[in-house]
Amino acid sequence: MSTEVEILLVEDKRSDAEMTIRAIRKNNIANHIVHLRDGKEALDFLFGTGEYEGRDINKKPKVIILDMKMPKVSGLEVLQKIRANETTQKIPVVMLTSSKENPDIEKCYALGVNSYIVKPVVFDDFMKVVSELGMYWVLHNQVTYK
Amino acid sequence: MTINKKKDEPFFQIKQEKNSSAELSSPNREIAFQHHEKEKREAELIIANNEPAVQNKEKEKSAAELSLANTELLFQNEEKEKRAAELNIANIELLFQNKEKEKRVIELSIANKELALQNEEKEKHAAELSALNKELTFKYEERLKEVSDYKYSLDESSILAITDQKGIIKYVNENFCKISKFSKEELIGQDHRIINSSHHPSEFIKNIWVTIANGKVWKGEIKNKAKDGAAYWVDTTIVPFLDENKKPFQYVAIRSDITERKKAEEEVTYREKEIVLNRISDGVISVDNDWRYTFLNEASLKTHPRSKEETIGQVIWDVHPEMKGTIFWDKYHEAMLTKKVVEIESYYAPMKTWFSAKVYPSSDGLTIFYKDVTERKKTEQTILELNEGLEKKIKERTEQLESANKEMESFSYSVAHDLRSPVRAMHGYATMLLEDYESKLDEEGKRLISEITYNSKTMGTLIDDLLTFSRLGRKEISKETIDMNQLTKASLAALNSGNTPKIIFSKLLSVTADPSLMKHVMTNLLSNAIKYSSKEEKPIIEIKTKEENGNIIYLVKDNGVGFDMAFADKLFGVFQRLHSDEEFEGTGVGLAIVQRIILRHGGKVWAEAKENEGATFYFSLPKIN
Repeated sequence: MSTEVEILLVEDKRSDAEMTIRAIRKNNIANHIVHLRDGKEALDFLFGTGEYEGRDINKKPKVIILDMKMPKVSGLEVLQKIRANETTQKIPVVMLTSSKENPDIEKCYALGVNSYIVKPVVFDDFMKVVSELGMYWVLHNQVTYK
Repeated sequence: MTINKKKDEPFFQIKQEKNSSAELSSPNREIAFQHHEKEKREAELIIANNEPAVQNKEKEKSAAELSLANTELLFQNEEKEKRAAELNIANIELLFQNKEKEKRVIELSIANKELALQNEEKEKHAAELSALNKELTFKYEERLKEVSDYKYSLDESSILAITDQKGIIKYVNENFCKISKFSKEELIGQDHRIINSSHHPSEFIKNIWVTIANGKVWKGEIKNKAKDGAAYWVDTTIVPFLDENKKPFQYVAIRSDITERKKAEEEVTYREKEIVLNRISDGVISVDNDWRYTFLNEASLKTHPRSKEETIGQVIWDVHPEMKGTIFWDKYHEAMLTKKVVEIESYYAPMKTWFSAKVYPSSDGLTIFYKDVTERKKTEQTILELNEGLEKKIKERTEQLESANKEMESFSYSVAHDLRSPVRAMHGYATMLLEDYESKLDEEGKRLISEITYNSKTMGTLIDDLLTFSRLGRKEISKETIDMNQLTKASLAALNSGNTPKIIFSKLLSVTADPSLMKHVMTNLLSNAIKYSSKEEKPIIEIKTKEENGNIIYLVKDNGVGFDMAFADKLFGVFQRLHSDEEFEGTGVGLAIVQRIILRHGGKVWAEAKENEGATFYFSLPKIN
């Protein structure tokens, strides 16, 4: 983990994760993608706890892509903890959800999510959306906390 | 009737002698005048008679004086013989004076005779007057007898009362006492309230007074009450007697007994009442002012222990002693006392029955309409309980519904989330397979993969549409005034039409509705119009509005394929399609969404079309100011 993390992808679904990573790689957005499978893992990673004890928490990802619905700790809780902590509160967070019917979308904005994306069913659209958000947050966005 | 006026005048007959008959009054006065004249003449005669007497007395007095002077002269003769010569002259003179006086006495005597003659004449005159007077007196007495005869016949034939101008009874005849059962002593000094039956409204009594106080005769039928409480009817004429100022100073009431006729009439009314009231299902009873039953209809007998004949005349509290102390007892008394209609609806414990009663007071007592409302009360109670239960149930159901709604929402979400994910994965992997292994697949392999991607894509759309449909059904409507021109433009902008149709609209009327929902409606209808006219050479879409009967009607018209009106009723059903997927893609949810939105706005949606001649979709919304 010496290399800088560019994208932290927190996604419990293997297929969605695979497609997301494929989209990012295919568009050469990032080389360093960390894929974690649930919210608890994500928090341990970000705060250097549990499994990730001793990790240099100053090495922050350029963007965190969070799936909203996950086992154990949900994307919403992860977002809440990220925003509540000084070291992580400025990291851009993009929330992914399977549908726009999700009642927690409003809460995401209230908690300070940077983007919110409904995963398209159609693969081409999915690829397009992921690559666009990756490009924006990884390549163009000037991160303020550095 | 009641006469209350007073005047301190003697009774009718006395007053009548004095005043009533004009013919009598005038000769009477004449007689009185003649009497007076006569007396005056007599007095004059006495004075005239006295006059010569005075003159005689004076003469006698003069003679005495003369005699005294004679004596004195004789004495002086004796005494004064010496002065005879002088005195002789004086004597002659005196003799002469004496002769003069005698002469005067004769004159006076003549005058006296004359006076006596005059006196005789006067006496003769007085005798004549006296004869006249006697004659007049006789005539007057004759007249008096006539009046008295009239009065007698009136007294015999009628019920007579005389009151002063305040209505205080001054005179009543025997008939009055007989019918009213009061004695003269009891009546005189009272007013007619003593026989008031309270039968007549105060307006009626007032009218009598207004009439007679204005000096007019009043005629009518009056119900009175005798001393023993028995009612009697009298046909009444009240004649006001006017003084010189034309103001009534007394009233004479002449009545005749019409009780029998009235009773007969009342009997008829009673019979009629009985016939009518026996037909109704309410219990109807009447009691008099002493609480005695006067009437019971058929229905009322159910709540009375004895027969009608046995009950009539009985006191209600004897027939129903258990009623004492109940609200019915209180209310009946209240009605009797206040003479106001009283309504009661209460449980009557002695009969374990709910009664609804209406009590109508009259001068004769009370008439009570009542009915058993136990069934209704039970129903009401049940309804009340049901209502309470219902409210409770509604609350429960609302809670259930709310939780069901939440469940539904989370279900929708999980459907969306959980169904979409595998569909997305199917589509994703099929696409990836094609991308990564294209070179290793033949055409058939590629076709099969494309079927997977096509179907998974369709399924994704279907899921999305279904979710939209259920979401719009739940969405709370928040209305505002919408500029439909703007909304139409925005809807068109969101649609990408391949074969760009000509779209015509202008000056669309505004409407009050939910903007996001209306955008769904417009987008749906426009996308349909675009879709179904896309195969036309020159697709034209028109959007119009008009106001009709308080509604604003919008129409979206295209010149596309149209449809067979026979299937018009299937247009708005979920998953209902009139075209195959090969012809036009679609899930069959769009118009169902449109209808749902319009219905939730209190509007209506319908369509007109002909195959291959285009379709027109209408929707109307209530115009709200």
